[in-house]
Amino acid sequence: MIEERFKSILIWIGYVFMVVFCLMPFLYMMLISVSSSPDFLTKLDNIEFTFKNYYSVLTSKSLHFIDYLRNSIIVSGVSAFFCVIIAGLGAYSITRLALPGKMLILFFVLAVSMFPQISLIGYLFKFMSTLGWINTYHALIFPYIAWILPLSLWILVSYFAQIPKDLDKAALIDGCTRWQILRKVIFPVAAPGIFSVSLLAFIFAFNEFMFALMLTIDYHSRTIPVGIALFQGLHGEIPWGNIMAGATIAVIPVVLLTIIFQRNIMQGLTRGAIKG
Amino acid sequence: MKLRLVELTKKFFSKHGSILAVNNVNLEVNSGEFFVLLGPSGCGKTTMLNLIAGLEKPTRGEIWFDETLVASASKKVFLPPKARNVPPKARNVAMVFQSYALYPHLTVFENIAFPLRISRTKEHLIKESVQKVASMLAILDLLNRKPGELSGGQRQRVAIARAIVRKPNIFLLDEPLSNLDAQLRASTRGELKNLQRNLGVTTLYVTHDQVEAMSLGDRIAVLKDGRIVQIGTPDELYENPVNPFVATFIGSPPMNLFKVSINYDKGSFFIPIGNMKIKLPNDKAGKIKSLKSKYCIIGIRPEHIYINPSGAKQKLKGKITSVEPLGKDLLLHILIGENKFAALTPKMQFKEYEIVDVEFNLEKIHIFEIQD
Repeated sequence: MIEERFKSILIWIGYVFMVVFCLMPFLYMMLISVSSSPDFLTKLDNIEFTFKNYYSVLTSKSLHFIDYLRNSIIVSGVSAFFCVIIAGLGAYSITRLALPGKMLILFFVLAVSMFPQISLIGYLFKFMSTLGWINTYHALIFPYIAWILPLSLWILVSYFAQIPKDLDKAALIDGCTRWQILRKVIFPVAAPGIFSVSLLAFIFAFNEFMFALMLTIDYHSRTIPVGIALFQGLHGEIPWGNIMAGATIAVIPVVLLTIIFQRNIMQGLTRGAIKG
Repeated sequence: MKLRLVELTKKFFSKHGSILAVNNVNLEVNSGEFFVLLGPSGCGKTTMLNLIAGLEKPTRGEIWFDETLVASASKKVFLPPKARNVPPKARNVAMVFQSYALYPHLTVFENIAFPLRISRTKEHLIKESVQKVASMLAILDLLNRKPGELSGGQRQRVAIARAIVRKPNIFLLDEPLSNLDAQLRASTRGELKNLQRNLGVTTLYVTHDQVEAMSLGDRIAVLKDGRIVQIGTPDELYENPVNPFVATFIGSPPMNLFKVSINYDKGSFFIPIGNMKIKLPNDKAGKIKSLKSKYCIIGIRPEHIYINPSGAKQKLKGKITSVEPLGKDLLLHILIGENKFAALTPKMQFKEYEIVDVEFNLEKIHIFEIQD
């Protein structure tokens, strides 16, 4: 009896530790974002609740926060969309065609994605400036798609490989074209995988910092991570209140997407465990 | 619809060389016939079905549906399984897969409606057709479920419903019963046969189970290594198998085969079994004379071996090595000289190691050429 109790207490301690460990930075961020004290990072006294930071982030034109948010959502959304489409087509052909050296292709793709970002950025900057694309959405979208594609492809290949080939055959017999098979059978059946990959791609593009730092110049195309990092006060001081408020708002799109797709993704995570 | 295969050949290429999956097959299936392709696994029967369905292109040869050429390697003709606008330029075949291949994300209703939706059938017609086949197959109460919630037998009915809902020219079945348990398989077999009779659709049925083939098929083609070994009605295959392969494949328990040399003495032919010489009936003389060598394979079915017969002329002595009760009958394994035989006999008391009299029904004996 005592042993049982001890066990459950230990488990609870584990829970609490995990939750605190994961949520602490997040809570800290939220706390500062609603505090009026600029020296909060050093002193813990006179905490005063205020929405001032949010208000200034959302309304002051010079911060361009809304522009950054819009840029981020557009760039991430478009990148994720094309990433899923291209990876879907690739995964379908790799799992369904009798291609010689399929595994070689897959490993090559994986190898390409292993390059550190920093090793590419110099060339990428030169390339984009030659094209005159610096400070445009597509300067970010193309590298993002290329960067996320290998992982997306691998995830979707593993999903599509689980779908029996008899389904393709049945759909062909039922009169589908290859496009229709993909649209009406494969994508819906692999929906959890598709959703997971979309979200993953979106989050990646939303978080990405280095490409965005190098390939954008101002609020016309700069994304949130870079935007927030470059927030500056009038005299060069670091406006922690604004940074934390901006960061908190930036979490919202990702959390929303996760909540919307949660059911589908959970299905995706547990799919292999359930028979049939 | 009449189906005709002319010198149909399919070769697969792989790293390790090429495989002739279907080798120069000529075949005619009559309109409305229930035709079975029977063979061991890897004999090319599923490839043949895929070729007819339009899922594979032939390497050589032609496929005709009535007077329409649907696939030809030399004339560069290849019609797809089904086109969006149904009749003219497609085969309009339907297929039931061993795995059923139901769309897991769609309800039973949508699964059955799927081919109709693809061909842009009007909504009220879809509803009508689905209701009709669903009631035909007694799955009306399942229409709102997903395939994952169905039992094997129910899934199989849905797969059949999806296949017949659009009135195909030819109905292709690829081992549709092999995932069902034995009892369900037997009852479904009967239903399937009735359904085919009622619909009158030309049907090709692939199986490796000779019982299924015998009970379902109007005619059966026995395949081996991509070639047709024999085509005939179930009775023809049973009574007159052309070679030892067909002889052992058709019939259960399988036919006894043994190698002998035939001796000729005083106008009669004899074969040695054990330490006896058995005189063959004279009507076998023609067959024996046509043999290329005096060595041949003799085949006799277990039910044509009689144990302890009364008044037999040519009795052999055999030792029972094991006894298998099969319900109504007993299957005895008997050793006569060097040769082992299986014999089917009405249930009587036999013991292992008992010595019994054995008589062969020599009228029913089969003589085969030795093949290399």
